[in-house]
Amino acid sequence: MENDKAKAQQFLSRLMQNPTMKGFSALQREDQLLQFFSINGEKLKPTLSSPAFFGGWSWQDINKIMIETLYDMTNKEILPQIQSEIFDKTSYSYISFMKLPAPSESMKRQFMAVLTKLLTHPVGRKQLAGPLMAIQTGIIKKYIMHSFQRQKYVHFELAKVQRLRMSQEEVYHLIKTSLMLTPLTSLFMPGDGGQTLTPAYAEKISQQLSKLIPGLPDPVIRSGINSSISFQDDKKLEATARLTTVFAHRCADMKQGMKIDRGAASSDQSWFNIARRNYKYYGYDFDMLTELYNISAENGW
Amino acid sequence: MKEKTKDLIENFILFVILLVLIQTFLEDMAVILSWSWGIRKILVFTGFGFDLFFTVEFLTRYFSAIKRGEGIKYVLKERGWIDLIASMPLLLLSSGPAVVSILEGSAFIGAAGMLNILKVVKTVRIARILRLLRLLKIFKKIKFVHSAMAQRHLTRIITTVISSLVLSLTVVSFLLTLFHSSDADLDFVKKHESLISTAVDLQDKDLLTFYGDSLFESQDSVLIVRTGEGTVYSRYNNRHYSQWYGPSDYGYVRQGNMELFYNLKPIYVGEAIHNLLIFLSILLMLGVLMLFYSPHFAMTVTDPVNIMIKGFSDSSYNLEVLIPKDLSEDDIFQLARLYNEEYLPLKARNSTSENASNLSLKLEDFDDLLKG
Repeated sequence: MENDKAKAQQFLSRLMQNPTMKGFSALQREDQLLQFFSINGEKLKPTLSSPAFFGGWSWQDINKIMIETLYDMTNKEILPQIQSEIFDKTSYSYISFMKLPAPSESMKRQFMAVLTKLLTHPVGRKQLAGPLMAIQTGIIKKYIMHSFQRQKYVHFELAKVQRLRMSQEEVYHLIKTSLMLTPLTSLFMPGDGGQTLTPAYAEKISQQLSKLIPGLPDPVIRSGINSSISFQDDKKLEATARLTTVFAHRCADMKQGMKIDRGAASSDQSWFNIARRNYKYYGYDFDMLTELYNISAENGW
Repeated sequence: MKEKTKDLIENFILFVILLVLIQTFLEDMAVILSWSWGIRKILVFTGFGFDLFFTVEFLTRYFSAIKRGEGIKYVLKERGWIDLIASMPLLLLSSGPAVVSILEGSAFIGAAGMLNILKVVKTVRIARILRLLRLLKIFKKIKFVHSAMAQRHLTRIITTVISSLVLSLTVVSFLLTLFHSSDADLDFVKKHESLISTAVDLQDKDLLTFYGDSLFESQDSVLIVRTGEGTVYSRYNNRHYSQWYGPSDYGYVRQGNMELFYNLKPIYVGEAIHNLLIFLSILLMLGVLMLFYSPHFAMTVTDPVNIMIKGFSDSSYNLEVLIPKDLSEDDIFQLARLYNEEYLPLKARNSTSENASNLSLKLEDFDDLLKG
């Protein structure tokens, strides 16, 4: 079995070394390879069924070992990252600013357990790619910092409407938690995920998730789960939920270190502008996108 | 292997073109700065060598194109006409006659009249302007922008501007030389004709021995005066003449048994300054086109086009084209606006729909792995 996995790993490593994979996160790379197998299965069959790889195996078994090995390879990279984010890098001090009891160490273990469960779920893995990339790149922090400096729409929505009486650092950690919660909706939904939720269904998911992570306060869980609700359906959606959905989607296909061609708008600037034109389709907050677009344009991001 | 040899030859030709441009510059500088005849003679011979080289290059390209049935294509579309007019006419009208004059030692002496001789000399020198067309040969070979379209447009502009300038200058100068002698040249020749008349008068009155030296000394251009009895005046010694003067540097006038040799270099200096001015103007023009027009063309035409091509062909590419406010009404930026505002949002929606693929990997990239 180990020998078979080594062969699969050898084949996958070769695919991962392709220059087009440069700049993708582990989960994005995994998604690319899954698509590659799904589209080119017939053409890959002769090679993978040859004695050099899995001679005499059924295609179903070959597919299974390839996917398992791929998941293992990705998990080896992302599990330490998730663990470090939950246990070390995320400060939950924002909870005390919300006048809620401080979370215990067991909450972090509960949170980690749910996310580990999510990794057994193909749709969940795909949904986690954007949030993890957003956390990894530090995109949230820089936009939150500029929003607080500008004191315009985003700041107003966070501080006045959602009444988050806390510093930008706490808001950043709250959105980070929210980002890690958002893919968890796929654990409670049929289909391939990605669809928007009705406010009522989101409430049900939040309640169920509260049972799995009882240490995490409800408003925080709601901020993560409500990010799957369209702003067009609920104009009272938390600002953190609206920001969460924007950053998760922004980073889902983001390629790090992408070369900006001469004469082209920068990467974030292009994405926010396109998102502004599709805001109804994706259920984004147009004004929020406009401010983020302005920040990106001003800073050449 | 064949390709490698071809590249090697092309690079060698490029190197020779650079050398010939330096040679052209030095040849004029040598006249202006009055370099020794030895150096100028070397420059004349190297010029002849280069002209011969480019003539052979043109003939080789032309006949090999004919062999492929692409003779007209080579001459008209691949700018073979530049190869032609920057080679053969120079060999026949400029460096060829100059070399013959050196080898014969007195090519221009003995022609009908000094003015006609000057016309021939000038024609030979004017033809040298055509050498500047070789600058275009460099642009034919160097790919200075990545886009084939930009390369073609810029080369066309540069070729049009420079060839029309060089050809018009050459033709106009030829016509002026053939049908009109400049007053300065005429005065220069007449001055020496009247000088020899005065000298002959003095000789007739047996006063040449007394007044000859002061008469000839007062005219800077007079070099040697000879009568049937021998040399009566020489500004310099023979060593000086052999070191600093070539056969075409002497003007000659004869009356009775008296011969006067005078210095034609001042006339050539004017010509050389004129040629150098054209050479530097063309270089400047090229520089301006390269430094200012080339980036302008890239920024306003090829860059937006390339971004849109990438956006259309690469599923993961979603960068917008930046539209300069002052150029927003340009056709290309109107197209870019549609790309930004219509196509990219549609593409984004399509990429998140069910069954959408944003696959960057291509099966062709793994041919070796799949064959193995």
